[in-house]
This record gives sequence, C-alpha cells and structure tokens, in this order.
Amino acid sequence: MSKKTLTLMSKDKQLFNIEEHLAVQSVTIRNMVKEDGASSVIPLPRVDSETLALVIEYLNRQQAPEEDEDYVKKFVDERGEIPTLLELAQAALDLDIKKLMDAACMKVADLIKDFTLEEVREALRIENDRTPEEEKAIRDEFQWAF
Amino acid sequence: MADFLPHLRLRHLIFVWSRTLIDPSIEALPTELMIDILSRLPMKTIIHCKRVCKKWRNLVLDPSFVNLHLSRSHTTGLLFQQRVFHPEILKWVEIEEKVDHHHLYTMSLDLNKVPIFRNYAISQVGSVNGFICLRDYSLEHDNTFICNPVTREIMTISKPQYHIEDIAINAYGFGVASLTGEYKVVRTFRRKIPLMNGWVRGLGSEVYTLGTGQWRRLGQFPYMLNGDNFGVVLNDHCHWIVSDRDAPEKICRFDLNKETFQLFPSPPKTTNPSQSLAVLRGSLCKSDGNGFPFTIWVMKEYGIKKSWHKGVVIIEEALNRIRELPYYNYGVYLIGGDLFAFYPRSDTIEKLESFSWSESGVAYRPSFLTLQNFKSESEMEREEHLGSEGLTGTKELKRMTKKRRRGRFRQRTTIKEENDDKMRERCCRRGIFGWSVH
Repeated sequence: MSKKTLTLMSKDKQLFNIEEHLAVQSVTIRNMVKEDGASSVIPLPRVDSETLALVIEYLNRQQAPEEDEDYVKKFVDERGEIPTLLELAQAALDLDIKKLMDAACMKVADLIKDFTLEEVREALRIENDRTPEEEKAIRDEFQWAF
Repeated sequence: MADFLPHLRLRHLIFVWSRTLIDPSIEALPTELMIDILSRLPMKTIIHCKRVCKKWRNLVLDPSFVNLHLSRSHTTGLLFQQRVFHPEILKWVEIEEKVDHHHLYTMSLDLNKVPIFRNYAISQVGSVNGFICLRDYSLEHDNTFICNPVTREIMTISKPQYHIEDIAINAYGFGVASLTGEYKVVRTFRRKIPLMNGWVRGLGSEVYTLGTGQWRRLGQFPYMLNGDNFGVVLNDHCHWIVSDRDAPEKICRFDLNKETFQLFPSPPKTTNPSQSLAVLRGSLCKSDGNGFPFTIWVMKEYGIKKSWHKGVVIIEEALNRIRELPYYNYGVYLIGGDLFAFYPRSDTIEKLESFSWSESGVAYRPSFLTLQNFKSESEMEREEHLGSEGLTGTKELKRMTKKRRRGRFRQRTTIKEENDDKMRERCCRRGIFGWSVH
C-alpha cells in the first residue's frame, strides 16, 4: 500500500508535499483529513514558504519518542532569531502542533526576558499605544513594581 | 482580528483565512501566542511588560493568561520583616540561577503605606497561589486581610464569630482545598471562662471560606499549637507544631477539605523550644534549633513516621556541615534572617543575603489571580484597591550577582555541642522556611 501524500500551500502559493501519517501530527490537519478526506490542496494562508519548510522539516523528523524533547529543543535553538521563532510559533499554533509551539514560545521568552521595554516592543511587533505622558504616569504608579 | 482568534476553532479559521488573506508581518501576533510567551517570562519581566502597551495590561487580566501563568509560576520567597516602632515590610525574593552565578532580586512593600494597615499590628499568616493572608494581632482589632500585591488588591474578611475579648488566639493557617478550590483561613483559640477567670483548656476553632462572608465554628481540638508559626500547607493540609508536652505526636494537621484536626507523625522528640515547619521540594521539613547546630528534619514520604530523617545539620554560620539530603537540587532556607542556598550535588551551602529583622518567611508563588473572584457579600464593601496611594512605598529592585564559591563552606567533621548563646541571639524566633528553585 502506497503512503498517501498531502499537499500544503503556503501564503505565497508554494506547494509542499508531505506524507499524510506525518502531517497528522498537526491536529488541525488531522481534523481536516477526518472530516473531508482533504484530497485537495490544504491552504495555509498565514504561513510563508520558509516557515512552512521548517514545519515540514520538523514533521519529517525521524526521532525516537524518548529523544523527541531534546530534538525539538535543539530544532528551535538552531533557529534562534526572534522573527523566525515567532513565525514558527504562529504556524505551530495555527496547525496545532503543541510541542513545537511550546518549544518556540519558550525560546522566545528566554530571549526576551532581559530585554528593555523598547526592545520587547520591537521584538514582539507591538505598537506603543501610550503617549509619553501616559507612560510617565504609569511609571510613577508602578514605583513598587509588584 | 487577533483578539478573537483563540475563541474560534482552528479549522474554521483556516476557512476564514482562505477568504481574507492577512499579512502576518503587519498584523499583531495572535493573543493566544502572546499569552503563551508572556506566561513563560519571569515575574519581574511580566510586571515590567504591563507597561509595554494597554493590550498587554488587559492581557494579564485575562483568565486564560492568569491560569496558564499560575501553572507555570515558580515558587519564590516572601519575607516578613517586623521591627519595634518600625513599619512592617514584606520582602519578595526571587532567585534566578545562572550557569556560574545567581541573581537575587528583592522587592519591598512597606505595609505602613497602605491606608487600611495603618495603626494595625500586622503579621503574616500564609500564602497560597499568590494570595497573602495577613492578620492584625493587636488586642483592639481582630482583622484578617487577604492581599495580592501583583493585582494590587486587598480585602478585609468579615469579623470572626468569637470576639477577641473572649478568646486568646492560638494558631492561624491559610490554604486552598483542592477538591472544591475553596480558599480557607483557619484559626484555633482558647476561650475565657468568665467566672473562674481562667482559660478553657480545650481549644475552639473556626474557619472562613473566602467568598462566603462568615466564619464557621468547628469542633474542639484538645492541644495547644505553637502559635508563633503559621500553618504550613502541604497535600491539602495545614500543619503546625504542637506545644503540649503530653501530646503523643508533636505535629498537628488540619484537613482543608474535611475541616478536621488530627495529630500527625513527627520526628523524634526534642527539648529544643525553637522549632518550625517548612515545605521544601514537596516534603515536610521541621527545624530544631535556635542557633547552631541547626538541624532540619525531612519527612521523605508524607505521613510515614519512619521516613523522618535528619536532612541538614548546620554547625556554624560560616562553616557548615551538611548531611544527606540527596533529592533536592537546590533549596533555600531562611535561618535567623540569613538566606542560605543549599546545593546538594556539591554538598555545599552558601549564604545569599542577610536580611536584618526578618522574622519569618513563606514560600510565595506569585499569580495574577484576582480577589474579584470572591466578590459576593459584605466583605467587598471593605475591599480597597492598592492604588497609587497604596503600596507605593519603598521599591527596591536589587540585582545582585555573586560568584558561587562552592568550596568555601566545605564540610567539617566535628559537630559542635549544643547551642551557642551568642549564635542564639542572632537567630530569629521563627526558624526556617524553605523553597526550591527549579
């Protein structure tokens, strides 16, 4: 019996093939397969091709279950850039791949925990929605930082 | 868009996205992702991040964040400093272990700056899930407070059934019953017999479940507890040292689910009047000693009397001898105002910091749980938020970096005999508390 292959389409319309039994590590894909057989192409309109290639690399890993924890940790460690990790975490969230998302979020948290406010904003793409006056008021209010 | 992402099922999302293409480089991160990252940060960073933007400030109030954060929250220490004619100060201590050194973060809360605490004599009762229970031990008042310094909320709980004039408070405890999720304050007391001008030996007790608005009377418990120590919570039970000489066991526990008192297996008897309980890495520990040698007993298997064994014996302040304590990675003890870290792998102990006048401490697991959950009856009328006029007192964010000198406190072979009076003076009344760093 030949293994069934699924096709995933990234945001920039690139197609990726992956064997179904590996793809269903993603709960999202598993549910889609269960419901309608997912015979056609599965569009992933929020995941760009670079990130999807990473996700597929992860899904294709051939690790024994007991080495899996170390593998996923190493996998995200090797991609230590915050933007890449955020894309990866977001893709893992969308595709519901818990281990990958946990590892990516953990790595991001590790990287930003000693950042300044401004750096955190930048890293996590947050707009500063406070005026300088407001910020000062809050700083005064939080003089005890509990 | 990002705000309602987590509320939709993912396959529906993909359906939606296939019609409305969104560019993630412009769009903010999904809330779920934000919550996940935020909940993994150290407490000091999260508090810092509340200032980053309004959205994050609202995010930390989100129940899904609060629960996720609590499940990942590490235990830290909360020291309580009491000085005569000086304000009570809560000191929060977080230790971050690095490869070759550690950071010690401390932050102070001056309780005297909180309006409702003024004129009260405040002492610590306990802490669970980020809530801190404080009580006023003065004779005029008989107030109990619950406070979360992270959410900046505080509430006074209803007056007890018994009046302070008629009773002498013995022991206090604060914990959560896991079966129901109810937070409970429990206390025992002796009652006055007016005619004989004496005290009833049998101890009365009452319990207060947060959110119910009233204390309930419980049965009598026939033993005096060591009231200097607040109850230490482990496995749904609150534990105290029994001070009655004729009690067959020297530890008493209160079942937070069933609300019953019971004697509990204790380590071999000691004549040392200074004893205290602590929980370290999931084990009940008991300290004997007011000075040095200072012994910490560990109950390896909860409830098994035979499993009590001598964990640590510290003979002097600077030269310490450690005995077996094989299953802790890293423990922190407060002994007489000095904070010690213990590294079992290298069998060394290190003094982290000296806190003058630290009388007691509890393990404290900071959380964003809100007291609004108990918003039901009269107690909320008395709730006061710790606004900018509230706990704004002294803030002290201290960042200490010390090289570990593991060899320095290498063990010696002789154990010094009995207590040294000079050392005794330097030690606090309330002995140890401990917590583990993961």
